[in-house]
Amino acid sequence: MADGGHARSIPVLKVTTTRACWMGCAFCDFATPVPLRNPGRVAAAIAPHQLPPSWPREELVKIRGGLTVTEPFGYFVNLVRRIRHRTASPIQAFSAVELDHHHRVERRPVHELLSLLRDAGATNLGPGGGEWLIDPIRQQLSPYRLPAQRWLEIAVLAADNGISPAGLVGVAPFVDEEAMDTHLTALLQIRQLAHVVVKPFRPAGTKLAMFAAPHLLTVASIIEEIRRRRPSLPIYMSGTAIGEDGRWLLVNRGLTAFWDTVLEVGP
Amino acid sequence: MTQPLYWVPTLLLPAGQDGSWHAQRFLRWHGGRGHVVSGGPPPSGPGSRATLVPQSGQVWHAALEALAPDLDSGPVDLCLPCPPAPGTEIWQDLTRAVRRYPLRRLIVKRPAMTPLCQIDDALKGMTEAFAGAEIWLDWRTIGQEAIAYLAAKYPQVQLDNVPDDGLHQLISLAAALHRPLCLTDFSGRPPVELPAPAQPALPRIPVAPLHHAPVKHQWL
Ligand code: SF4
Repeated sequence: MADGGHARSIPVLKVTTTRACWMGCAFCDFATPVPLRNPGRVAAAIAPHQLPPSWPREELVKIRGGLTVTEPFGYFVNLVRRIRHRTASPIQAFSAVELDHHHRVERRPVHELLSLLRDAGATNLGPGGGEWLIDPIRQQLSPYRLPAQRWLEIAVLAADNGISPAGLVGVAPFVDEEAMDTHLTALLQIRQLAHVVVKPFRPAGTKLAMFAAPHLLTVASIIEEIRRRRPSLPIYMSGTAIGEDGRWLLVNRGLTAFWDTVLEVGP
Repeated sequence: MTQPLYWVPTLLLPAGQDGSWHAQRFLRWHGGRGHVVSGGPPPSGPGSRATLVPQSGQVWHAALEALAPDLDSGPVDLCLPCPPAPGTEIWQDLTRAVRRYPLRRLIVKRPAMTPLCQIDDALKGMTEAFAGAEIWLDWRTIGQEAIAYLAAKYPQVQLDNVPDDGLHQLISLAAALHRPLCLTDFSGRPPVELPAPAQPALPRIPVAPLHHAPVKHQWL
């Protein structure tokens, strides 16, 4: 909440595993096409020993990245374990998209992957990059993505396996009010949601660069709507590119706090 | 109809320059609508005019501190830093000016380091105390995020001094507020509604049939 006119800021250590991703979602600037014929040319994901010897105080660790083509799931479990040894903060690791990817590739049940993540120290399952829980939008912008129902099932499975799932509300000019209503209804029915991350669409570097970024007031009205539907659910947003006035505005509309990256580790 | 948001293209001509050439072109580029604020004699032509020093028959674009009690003038566009709170010295000067001069507009600027909550309180006070006055917010000093907040909260205020390269931001603000955007000036001619730009269509992403994730299987 607003604290003497200032928005609360949560310092975040952001770990980006890799910036390449075969899935090629139109809204994502990680959608670097992977040279599948020669995967050796793809930059490998960050190795656990590449973590810096120290980092500024953080209250949350976020691990995210593209879908790797060279490392198995155990590699990332090891990364989570290494981070857990260095911090007591919550660790939000990966998302339903990555779990589904590793499940398909390694043919291991999703609940097993979730248990591995939990035992390594992950506390939250991330919300993913552009999870509109509306299949026609998914098919149009991200045709290889898991269907909306599958995303919901994995989120509930995560909660059952001791990892609280986070939800994503992407604000973009191509998601109209009706679609947003459908998305919020589907997402907010998950009672075990740890929090919701509001993510204004950033067109730069994506296949949708012809669209404008959403206006701050549109973001504010969606925060208000989430707050109206779930009065006590924490709502977070990245503080990147938001000034003091914007923060004040959004916190007054119901945002809980901003996530401010204190250090980004990655390739 | 909802109160439109106005775009008044504004040209500032410094004193000591014959600005007719600039003013003519500026107005032509904006379809004959625009507001010219000049330091010297106002250039002729379409659009509206104001002067930086009082001249008979002209609107005076004046800073609050320039208003002397014994000065006679015609209508005034009064520019002032955001008044801190009712009761302060600026507030008293403003109250005196509102009583003394035929005000056309109050143009509120944001002094550096002024928190948004202070501007919010000041505007609340001003809209109550000077209910009939037209209040305009200075686009360049107030900042985009604060403009968004204030324009949403006070639909009666308008935005002053929006540069041409701020037009896309003004368009998206009007869309977010569900208000029409009109090009206008103070010449008395009716505003021209600007149609909202067309939304681009979503591209079709080519989909290759994919039966398994395209990963290297050497570690399986
Ligand atoms: S949104 Fe996720 S799955 Fe899609 S391209 Fe980006 S990183 Fe890959």
